[in-house]
Amino acid sequence: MGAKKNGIRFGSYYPVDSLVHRLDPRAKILAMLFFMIGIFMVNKFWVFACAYLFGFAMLALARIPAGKALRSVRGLVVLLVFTSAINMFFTPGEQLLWEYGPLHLTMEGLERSGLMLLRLVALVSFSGLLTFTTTPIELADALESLLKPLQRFGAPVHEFAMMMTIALRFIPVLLEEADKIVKAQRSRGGDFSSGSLKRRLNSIIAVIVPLLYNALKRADDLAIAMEARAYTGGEGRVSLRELVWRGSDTLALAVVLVFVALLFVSHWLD
Amino acid sequence: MFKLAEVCYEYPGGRLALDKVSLQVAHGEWLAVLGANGSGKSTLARHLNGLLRAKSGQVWVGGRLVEEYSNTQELHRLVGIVFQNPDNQIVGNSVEEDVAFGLENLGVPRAEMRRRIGQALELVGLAGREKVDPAALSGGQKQRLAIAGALAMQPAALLLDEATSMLDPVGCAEVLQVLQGLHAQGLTIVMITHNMSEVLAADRALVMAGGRLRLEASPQELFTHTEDLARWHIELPAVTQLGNLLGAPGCLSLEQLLDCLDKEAV
Repeated sequence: MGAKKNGIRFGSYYPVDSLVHRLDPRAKILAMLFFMIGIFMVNKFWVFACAYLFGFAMLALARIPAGKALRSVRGLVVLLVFTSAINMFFTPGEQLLWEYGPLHLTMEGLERSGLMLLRLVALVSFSGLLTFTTTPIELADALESLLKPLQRFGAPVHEFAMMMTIALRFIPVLLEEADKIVKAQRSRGGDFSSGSLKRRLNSIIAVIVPLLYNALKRADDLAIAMEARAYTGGEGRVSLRELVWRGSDTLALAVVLVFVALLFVSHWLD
Repeated sequence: MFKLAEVCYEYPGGRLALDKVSLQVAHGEWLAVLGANGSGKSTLARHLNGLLRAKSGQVWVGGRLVEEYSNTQELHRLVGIVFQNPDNQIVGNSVEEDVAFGLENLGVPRAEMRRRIGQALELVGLAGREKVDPAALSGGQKQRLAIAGALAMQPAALLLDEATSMLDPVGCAEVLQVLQGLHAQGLTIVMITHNMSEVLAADRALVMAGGRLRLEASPQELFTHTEDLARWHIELPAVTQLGNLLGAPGCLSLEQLLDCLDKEAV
């Protein structure tokens, strides 16, 4: 579990001071979005080499070890192998290298499989640039700011961001509570690691039910406490955390946009 | 600061939580409200800052009827409330964010917000902990943080709804010390409590049972009503119980008890 009890850190935030960490989270979200779209446009190995170089340069600028970013891929190994295999053995082509029943290995399949693998590894590894350098709270603030125009159409943007913030606040509380319930059940003979599947499921239900009950009770109490502190929704609210868009944010976004434009152009190069 | 006249409140389902309650609390007064579970204490507190509205009777806050407040935000700003479980009232992901929550809702400008956060944290002894995750604080610190959140809104009164009942003795002492400091500065305090030793810090104590006010007295006088208090399931402080057994009734502290016993011995 990526939750850390003694800090505002969840998931993969990597707390160092860097140029990328200091950027406005909105700039980082937009840049990441464009970069991901660009990655989908790449259809040549040499362009992937350039994209990887660019990504590693960004990681270096963010002072994030490349190994840490690449390790994010570990959890997706099965998906990567499966996708590669499908592309490798089921892509039709003219240069047949090997065949067995419905499986056929072609040069085109190898190329497509390689490109797909590079694309997925790039997407997973470099998306970390956003989550490694931005706290979840900054992400919630940035999303609220970026989605604000949707409020005109009745979208509950503030409520969505508030829900994210509160969920983050309560993750350590609920983890602690789950731990207490597990210990209480164990002290009364509850067994979570042995016995039949049915028995284990029953043990887990005995944790989930009180946890859910307590979570609902907490939600009720919290709603009253929020009302008592004058919360009436997003209207007229001023956030303590201020997002400031600086020249460096425009510059960073422009650099990424130019690079993405080059990736687009490369798509149609012979 | 507060005035209630014949206030009745009934929860959905028909349980009468307040039954013709009338009382007044002066500006700067510290009122302790005692009572067994279900006696109506918390319901009373929630009427004082507009979280609940009386079914009949009238409630005045700061000299105005609660119905006269154009929005409940104004009422919530005027009367802060701290609840029992510190974990269920902290909203922010850091100490300063939590103190800021009420100010954000009121639309206070950021510079003023920062000034008030600093002041409130100073008052509760949490200055310098602005960036700390509330999950890393002790129970007493969390309750002090909740008090800071209410204080930052510059209330005229603070309600504490069994705010120390989940704390250990150290946490209780921390919170009580903060409250004594705030009371000395003129803040009106209404403290709902089960803890008899906390009653001693108040100017006046009320006992509730079955939704009604049963007794009103100074803390010193309160503990002479031993039979009544027992009838309403209110336990006397240990030192008072010991004094009663030793023939020195009405003692509120160990020092008083020792004095009484010394005098008897002489």
